[in-house]
Amino acid sequence: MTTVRELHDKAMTLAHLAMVARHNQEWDRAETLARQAYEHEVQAAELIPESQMSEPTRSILYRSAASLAYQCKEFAIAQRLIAKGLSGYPPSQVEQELKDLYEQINFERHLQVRGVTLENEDFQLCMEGAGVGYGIILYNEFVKRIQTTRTLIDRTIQRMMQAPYKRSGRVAKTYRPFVPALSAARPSSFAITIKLGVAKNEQIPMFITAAQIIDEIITGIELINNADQKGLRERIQPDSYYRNFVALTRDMAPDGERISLVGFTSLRKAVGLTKQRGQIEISSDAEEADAKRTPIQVEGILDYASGRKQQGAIGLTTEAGREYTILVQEGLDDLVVKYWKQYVTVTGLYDQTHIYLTDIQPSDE
Amino acid sequence: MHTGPVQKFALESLSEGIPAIPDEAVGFYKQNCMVCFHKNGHKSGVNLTVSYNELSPAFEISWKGDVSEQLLHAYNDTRRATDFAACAIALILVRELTDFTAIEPSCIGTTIDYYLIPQHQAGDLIFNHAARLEVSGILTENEDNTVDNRIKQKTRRLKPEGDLPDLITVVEFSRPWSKMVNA
Repeated sequence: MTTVRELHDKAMTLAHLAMVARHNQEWDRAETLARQAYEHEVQAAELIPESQMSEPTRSILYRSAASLAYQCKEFAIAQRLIAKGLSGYPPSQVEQELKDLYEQINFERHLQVRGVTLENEDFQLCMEGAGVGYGIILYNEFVKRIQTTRTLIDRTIQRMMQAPYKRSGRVAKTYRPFVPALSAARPSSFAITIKLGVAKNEQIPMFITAAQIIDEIITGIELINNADQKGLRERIQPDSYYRNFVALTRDMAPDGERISLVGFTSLRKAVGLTKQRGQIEISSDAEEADAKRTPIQVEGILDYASGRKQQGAIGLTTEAGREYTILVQEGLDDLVVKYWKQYVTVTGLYDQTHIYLTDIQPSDE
Repeated sequence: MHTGPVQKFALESLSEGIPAIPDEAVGFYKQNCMVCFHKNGHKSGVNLTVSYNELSPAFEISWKGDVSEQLLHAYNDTRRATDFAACAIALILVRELTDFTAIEPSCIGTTIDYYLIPQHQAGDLIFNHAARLEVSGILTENEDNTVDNRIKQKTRRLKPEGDLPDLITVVEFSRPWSKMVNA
């Protein structure tokens, strides 16, 4: 008969192999190995009788089995295993570990789609946090993110169709093949479906599909959430588009309080953006160009630069009436458009003449 | 200062007596260690000093193979590489300096990195006499990020509960050195 130790050791070997597979980005293999690992760990846990004498071994084995089930996205099974672990006599620290894991799984379940069926050209945008109630969300938190999502879709389409980055002005119709539409919001965490449809009487684009656009956006956000700058760089090579993608993702990122998660789910994959905006950096050419520039943060109204002579220069007037000229790198233009004439906090590098912009956000945040 | 003989240790034998590192995963942990030592200019045969319970033993860590560009690229996430490398070194230290050995890495959402069991434990109730180990790695120590500060942070966070003893190990790869304390 196989012993608890043998089953557990086998489970741990498989779990390690799954970890190595994840490192090598062999996702399917990692999931298969994690599944085999959890099956062995469950068998080990079930050999231990439910009694006080069995603790903490029994609850630790159930916690471990639940963790492995979670890794292969068997959320319901993982939660049942946690319940089994809690049903015995777990010592307080293992009980807390089981509860923490339960919370973690709940968090992931927000990314799952409920009540609707996604099509190829759909993706779900969901938000979770203190600013989200049952079917209700703070107006600004929603509007800000839905607007930025729209811009992110447009810019991704333009990039994938190899259009040169355009700082301003109307984008040619060729580069606007899809018309985003929204579904009604769903309760629980606040979730809506965004559909990239083709307008009636318009031709279906030949060289790009809605699914490709959606996958590209989700993959890019996943790379940012994993702090994989290199991976994102390889995917988005033009500097302006790269900077734009990072800036827009950062604009949507959670603040950690009102919003703790911004989730994107398609038929094919899901990502929960949990990295907060302060943790997402936009590399600044200005920083590399001149070490004498010093960090600066100023508040004021975003407006025209009084002595504007160069493209990409805007102004900021503080409450005291002081005017700054801000130089905007290609890619950050969409932030300027979004917050134009608003009271904002501008972050950048200052050389006593210009501010080299790295971030803008509304001052009420 | 180190006194006494230097114990030699080859990364290829990482799994010996450490159930938490199966044979199949030795290569992975070894390569994480190689990358972290290499980034600090160290080669196979590097001396690691340890501070534990007023002892200061030293280990000579060796490995076979070179650190290639391909290997550096494969482990380019420095934070993760440092964490995994620190785990490997910490588990060696636990095995060599205590009566415990690591049996299982912890799950997501807990502060405990490994459960430790007595080295010659038998029977089905494998965790009934377990200890807990928390590991942390620093690639290169600096004024704002020191081994001692990291130990303090973890000691504050890891509140002792019940009868389970706790160990904290921080591994630094530039000097290189490690500090292990009972929490």
